[in-house]
Amino acid sequence: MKHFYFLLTVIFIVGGLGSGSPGRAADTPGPTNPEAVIAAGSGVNLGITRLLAKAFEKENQTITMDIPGSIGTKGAIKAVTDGAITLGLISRPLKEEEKNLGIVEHPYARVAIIVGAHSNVREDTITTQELIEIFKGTRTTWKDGNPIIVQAREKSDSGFLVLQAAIPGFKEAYAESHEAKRWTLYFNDQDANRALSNTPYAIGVTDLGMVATEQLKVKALKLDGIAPDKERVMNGTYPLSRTLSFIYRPEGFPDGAKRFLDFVTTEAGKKILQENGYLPLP
Amino acid sequence: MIRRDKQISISRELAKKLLPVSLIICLVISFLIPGAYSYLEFNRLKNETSLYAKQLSDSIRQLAASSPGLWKYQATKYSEIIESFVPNKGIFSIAVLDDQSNPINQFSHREKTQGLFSQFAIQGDPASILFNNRKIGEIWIHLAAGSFLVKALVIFILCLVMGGSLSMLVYRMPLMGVKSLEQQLLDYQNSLEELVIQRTTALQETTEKALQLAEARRHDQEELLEAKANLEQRVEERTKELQDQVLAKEKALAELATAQSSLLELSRAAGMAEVATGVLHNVGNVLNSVNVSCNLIMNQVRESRTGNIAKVAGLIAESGADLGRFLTEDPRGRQIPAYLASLSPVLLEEQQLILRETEALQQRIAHIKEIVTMQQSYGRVSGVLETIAPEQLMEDTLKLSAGALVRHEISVERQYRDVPPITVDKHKVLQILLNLINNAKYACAGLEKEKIITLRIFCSGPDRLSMQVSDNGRGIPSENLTRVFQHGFTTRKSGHGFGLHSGAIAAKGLGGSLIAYSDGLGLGATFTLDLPIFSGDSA
Repeated sequence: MKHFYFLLTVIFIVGGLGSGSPGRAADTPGPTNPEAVIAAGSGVNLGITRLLAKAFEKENQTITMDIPGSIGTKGAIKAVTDGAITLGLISRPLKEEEKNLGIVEHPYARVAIIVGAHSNVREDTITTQELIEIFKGTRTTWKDGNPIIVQAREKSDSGFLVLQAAIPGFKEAYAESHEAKRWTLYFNDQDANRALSNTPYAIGVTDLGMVATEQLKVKALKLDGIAPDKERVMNGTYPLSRTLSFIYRPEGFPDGAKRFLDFVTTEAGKKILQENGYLPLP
Repeated sequence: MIRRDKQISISRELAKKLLPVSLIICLVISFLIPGAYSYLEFNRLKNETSLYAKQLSDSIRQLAASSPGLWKYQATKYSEIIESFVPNKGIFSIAVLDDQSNPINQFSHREKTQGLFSQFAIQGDPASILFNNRKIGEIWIHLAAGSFLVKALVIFILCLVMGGSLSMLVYRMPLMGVKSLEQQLLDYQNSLEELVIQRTTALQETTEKALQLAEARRHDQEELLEAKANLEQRVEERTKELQDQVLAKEKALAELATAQSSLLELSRAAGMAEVATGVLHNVGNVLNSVNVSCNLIMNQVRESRTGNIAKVAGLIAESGADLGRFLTEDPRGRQIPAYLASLSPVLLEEQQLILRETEALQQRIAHIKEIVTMQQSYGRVSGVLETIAPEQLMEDTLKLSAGALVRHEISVERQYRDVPPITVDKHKVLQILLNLINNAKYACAGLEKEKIITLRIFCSGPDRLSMQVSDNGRGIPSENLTRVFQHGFTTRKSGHGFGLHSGAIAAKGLGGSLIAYSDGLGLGATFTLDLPIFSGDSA
């Protein structure tokens, strides 16, 4: 019988994609092109990086900045390690094992992570306990009686990782909600931000930079009465924030990319950052 | 034996025809059904696998589209998508490949690698990951086949058993039926033969028995004839005996009637004797008084001084004319006036005594006359009805017994009610009552307490009255209450046992009854003579 067969499977030997040979993106120019800098990575970084790139390209006509869609922090680390991209955009610090991959981390900005709500939500503050109850599924409406619509992310999302570390009890509630498949999950920042911005009475986690750069109809809720302004982020009174970094391989690092990093630390670059809710780092 | 071989060959021929049929049934059920199930289930699972791959490719495509040139660097996110996609789908493994078929991401469900058939999987069609109508990768999904294989194996085994069993049934049942029929036919044939033999034997035996029976019947008939003759003779003899017995019975009945008549006469005579005895007794008593009076008169006469008067008269006669001198001078003559003077009151007293005794004698003789007259009154021939007051009947009876009652120191109480006169054969009633009073007298004999006989007369119903004699004597035990009326029954040494018997018969003849009652020994007895106010003598 033609279709009647059983496949004796020892199909694949588990192995990392990293064991494969370095490759190049089929539709992107290689890093060896001095005129083109490919920067890809976390969706958190995309908006501000594109603004910075646009300003940089005005001053440096010979250099083209190519910034595709989100491939995540892990994707960026992998792509930089493989030499698939020049600059990686990450929204969390490198882990120890990632530092050993021969890449360099260049932090350039800090931004407040917010518990955001759709602009039609009347409330402007939320407690950490209420947040836990919402993700446990025991709190389902806003105080005006309208339903709370949760827009969640995959487990490894950097914003939710910060919340899990900063808010006691939230990690368990979030993990349990994943087990129960309680929410709609979005696997990149832009999808999640779009859903949060477009869904009335929605709640989610984003940051002030993405709200500004992606022009989201989202308002930042005070957390336990503390607003996510720059001072409180810097002095740590507001507990939720993350650092945005570039990563790259130092050997053969192209000049154009180096010049872009330099531009970011210029006053023009810092101004762009500050105007969009970021805190430039020296 | 030839027929049996033929029958066995029929079952063999049937077995030859049934064998291929049963084998076909076995094969169809054992392999076709499991095969069909396996084919359908496999295709279903294969389609399901392809569907899963399509669904997963859609999810990954949306993520990859944001950065198609670098899509394969989102392996971590694909892992999370796959992790949320896998549960409850029976997925064995998932592989995400790029356009060069290099693995980007892979998943192996480790839990499904345990157990029987866990290494088997079903591969569906790959699903392409498209971007801008260009294939940038594909997804392969394998579903775990263990559960499917186990089910298929179980179904195969069940169908094999069922097919085998059914084919055996198809093969064996008709064969067994035919063999059973063959055996039954043989048995039936054998039984028929045996039956014929048995019937023949039985018929012969029956014939012999019939002959014997006929002989026996002929013999019996002769015996019957003989018995009939004997019986007729016996009947004749018996008839004669019965006729003799009837004659004897009639004779006995006649004798019995005569005896009964004699008994009645005897009873009547006995009653009359009792009456006569009473009369004589009373007369005797009166005669005693008469005798006493006579003796008194004789003694008075014998001792009378009337003789002395004769002597005085002789002395006077001797004096003749010289009576005066004699009376005055003679010493004997001078005593005569004084003597006569003293004799006068004595003679007067004697006269009075004799006169008194003579009157008493006259009264006693009159008493005797009265007794005799009464006896004559009751002694006439019975059967004549007379109207008489019941009290007089009772008192006349009492008079006949008065002497004996006095002698036995028995007091009599009378409880008479006002009752109308009764028309009856008073002689029979007198006999009955006299017998009852005599019995009461004897019953009281020997009592240390006061002896009392109570006589009662009262109406016992319309046109009926009762005359009752009660005593407080020795009483009658209950077992003797009916026996006292039997002929010959008596408790007295001098009794003849037909007083109450004849009394009861007489009472019945008067249209009445005689009833005895006693509370038991020592508690007295009561006899009640119940009579119609007007009765005819039916005796």
